[in-house]
Amino acid sequence: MDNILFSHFPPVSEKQWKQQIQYILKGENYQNLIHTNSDGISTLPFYTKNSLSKAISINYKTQPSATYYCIVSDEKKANTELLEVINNEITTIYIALFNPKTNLDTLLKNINCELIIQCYFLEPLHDTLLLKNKQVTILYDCIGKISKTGNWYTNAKVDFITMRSALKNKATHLSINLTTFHNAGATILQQVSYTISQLIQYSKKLSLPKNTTIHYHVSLSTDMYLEIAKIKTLRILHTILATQIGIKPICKIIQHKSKRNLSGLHTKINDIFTATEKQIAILAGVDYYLSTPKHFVFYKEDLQSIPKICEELNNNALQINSSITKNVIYIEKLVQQLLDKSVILINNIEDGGGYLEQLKKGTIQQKTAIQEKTSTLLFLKNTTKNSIPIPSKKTTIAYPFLKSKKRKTLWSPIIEKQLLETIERPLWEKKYSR
Amino acid sequence: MKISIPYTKIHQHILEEQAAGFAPFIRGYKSDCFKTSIITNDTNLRYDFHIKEVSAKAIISVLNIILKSTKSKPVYHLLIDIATIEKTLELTPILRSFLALISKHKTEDASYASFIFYIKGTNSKNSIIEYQFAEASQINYLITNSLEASILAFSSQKSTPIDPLYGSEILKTKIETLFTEVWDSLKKHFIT
Repeated sequence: MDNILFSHFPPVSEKQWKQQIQYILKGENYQNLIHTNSDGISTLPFYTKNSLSKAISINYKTQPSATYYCIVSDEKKANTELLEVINNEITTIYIALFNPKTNLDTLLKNINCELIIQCYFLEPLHDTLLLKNKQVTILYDCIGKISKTGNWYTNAKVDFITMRSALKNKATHLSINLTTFHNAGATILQQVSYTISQLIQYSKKLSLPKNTTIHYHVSLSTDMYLEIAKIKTLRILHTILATQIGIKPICKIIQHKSKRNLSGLHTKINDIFTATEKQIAILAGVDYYLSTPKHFVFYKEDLQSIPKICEELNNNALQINSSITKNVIYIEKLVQQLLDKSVILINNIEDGGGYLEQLKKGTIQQKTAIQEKTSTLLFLKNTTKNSIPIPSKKTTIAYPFLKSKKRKTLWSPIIEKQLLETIERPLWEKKYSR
Repeated sequence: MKISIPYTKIHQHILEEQAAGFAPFIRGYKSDCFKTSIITNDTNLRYDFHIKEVSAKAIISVLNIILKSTKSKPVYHLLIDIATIEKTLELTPILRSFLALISKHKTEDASYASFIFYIKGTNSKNSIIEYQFAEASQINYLITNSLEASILAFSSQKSTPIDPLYGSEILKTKIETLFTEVWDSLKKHFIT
C-alpha cells in the first residue's frame, strides 16, 4: 500500500506536520496543544514512528473471561444462583466470601467451573471439596484490609503469620487491591505505584512461594487509552519485580465495576459506564471482567434476572479485536511515562520505609485525598451544565452513596468516594428523603 | 528494594511516513485538534452515500460514482451504517485515500474533494467507546439518541492525539488488505 501511495504522494516529515499545525494555529503556541495531566503524563498532538526511542515488552497472552460476581450470605441460595449462572453459559465465577464458617459443601454443590474465592478473613479454608476441584483459586490480602478499613484482621504479626501459612496451600494465592485507590480518587500513577509497593511489602513480610500467582483487583475509568496503559504498566512492573523476588512473572488481573464512576441516580449512566469499563478491560487484556455486584444496584426496578446479567456479561457488542491496541505508539508512550514516574514514586515509598510505614503515617491517605479533591473539582469544572433528566422516583433497596461510619481504627483508612456524589446527593435527598 | 526499567534502545530508520492533514489522508484530514461532534437521531440529515458493509465492492461502488461525477469542489456526506466500530476504523482511511487519488487524478489537487463522515451509534450502551473510536477515525458526526448524547457531553471526553491508534499492526494489515483489493479494481484509472 505504501508503495502505491508514495508513488502518488510524497512522504511527509514530522517537521512538515508541525509546520502545518503552526500555520493553522496562526501564531498560537504549539506547546498549548500538549496536554499534561495531574500525574505529569503528557499527550502530544500527534505521534510518529520516531516518537519511540526505547522499548520494553513482556510476553503474556490473555483471553478475558466473563466472570459472574457472587456475594455469599446464604449458602443454599447462593448455590441455586450459581447453578443458574452456569446454565447461562458463564464458565468463571468470582465469590466474595465474608464468613469463614460458610459451608462450602453446600455452596459449591454441583458447581464445576473455574472459581475464584476472595476471602475477607484469614482463617484457612479446609474443605475437601475445594481440594478435589482443580479449578479453584483462593485469594487472601491482609494489606488490602488495613488499607481500606484502617484495621488488621487481628494484628500485623498474626495476619502475616496466618497468610504465610495459608499460602502453602497450592490453590491459595495473594491478591492485591488497586480498586481501593481508584475508588478513592487516586491518580493512575498513584494507583499503580501504591499497588506495586504492596507487592514489595508482601515480599519482605512473607517468603512468597515460587508458584504464587499474584491476582490484582483493578477498576477502570472511561479514559480508554490511559486505562489500557495503566494495565500494561502494572503487568510490566509486576514482571520486573517478580523476577527480582523470585515469583511467577505472569500475574492475573481481575476487573471490578468502578465505585468511583457509580451514579446514585441514573441507571443509564451506570449502564453506559459499566459497558465502557468492560470494553476497556477487554481491550486492555485483563484476565477476568466481573459482572456488577448486586450491592451496586440501588433500586428495585433496576434488578436484573440472572439470565439477563449473564447475557450482558457474555455480550461483546462492539466485537473489537483486543489486539487492535497492540503496539499503538500513543499507548506505548503513555506506558513509558507511567513506568518512569512509577519507578520514582515506588522508590520514594521504599526510601520512606515502605508502603505500610507510609500508610501508618497517613501519607498515602493524604496524597490520595488531595488528588480526589483535585479530580472532583476538575470534573465539576469540565462537566457541561446540560443536565441529564432525573429519572422518575423508584423503590430504593439500598442507599446509593458510600456511607461514612465513624469507628475506631488503628490507622486512617483510604476513603472511597463516588465522583458524582457532590452533584447527586442533594438531588437524591430532595427526591427520596421525604 | 529498588526497581528500574530494563528498556532497550530503538534505532529508527523510518524516513517515509504519511501524516494527517496531508494527502493521501490515511491518518486523517485534520492535522491537529480533531473533535467528533454528537448529533441526535431526530436531526434531519441528507447523505450522498450510505455504506452498509465494509467490503471492496461497497467502496468501489462509491468511488465509481465519484469518478464519474462532474461536481465542482465536491463535499460528500457519507453515512457509515455498519455493525462494528472496528470496521469503521478500516474503512475511513481507505475512502479518504482513494478520494485523494481521484481528486489528484482529476484536478492535480488532492484536497479537491472531501468526505463528511457520519456513523450511527449502536445504542448498545457503548457510546463512550464508540465516540473514542469515531474520533480516532476522524468521523465528523456520531448520531445517537438524546439521552446518550447528554451522557456523552456529561462524561467530558479528553482530547486525544490525531490518529491515536497509529502503530497498531493488526489495523495496518487490515487496511492494507482492503486497500489492495480496491486498488486492483480501480488502478486502471490512476496508472497512465
